[in-house]
Amino acid sequence: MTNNVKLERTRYKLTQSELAEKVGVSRQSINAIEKGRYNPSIVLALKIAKTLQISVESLFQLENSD
Amino acid sequence: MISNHLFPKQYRMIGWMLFVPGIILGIWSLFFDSHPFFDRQVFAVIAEKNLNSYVYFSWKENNILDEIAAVLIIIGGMLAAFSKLPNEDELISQLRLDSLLWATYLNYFILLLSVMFVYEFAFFPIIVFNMFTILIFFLLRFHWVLFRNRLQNDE
Repeated sequence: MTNNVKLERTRYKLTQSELAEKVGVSRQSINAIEKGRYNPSIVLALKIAKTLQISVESLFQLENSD
Repeated sequence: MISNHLFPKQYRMIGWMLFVPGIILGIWSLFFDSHPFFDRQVFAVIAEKNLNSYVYFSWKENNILDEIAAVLIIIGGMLAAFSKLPNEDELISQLRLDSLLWATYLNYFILLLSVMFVYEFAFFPIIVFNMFTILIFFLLRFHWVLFRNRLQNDE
């Protein structure tokens, strides 16, 4: 799965720590998501999308291998 | 989803404070004779009377140093392994689950090899260690992946 979390987060002018605090996870979790090392749960994906005021489908995309 | 079956984070340090002395005591009891102070009357649900003969629900004298070590290792290890971390979230839960799976695989792989290649009374230490190795493997693996995760995500 690929994502635009970093792009949308910077567009929304939030740091990783700020976004992490808003969605209730650690900064390391946000970093891991942005680097593609971790796929968030549905609940977390929805929380991130809601915080960044964007749809989940715009934020996360399936890859051919998924 | 974060597991609701973890101990509160305050128990983690208590766990380590029990686990480490338990390990030290256990290793001590392997290599040195136990002090007579630890010879105590204990209540045994099942105990060996003589070869192939057992007694049930009776009092016996037994050196309890190894039992004390085992209790400390099990309780301390469980608290250290399964208490919430200060920064507990779903990533940590995933790392914990992966580490538990890895530890289980490793533990039973080693046990399987031991069953096939270790025989007679030489197998007894294997049984003893196997009581604790899954916890030990898990703790080692979990803290290694936490450390590696911290390094990778601080880049």
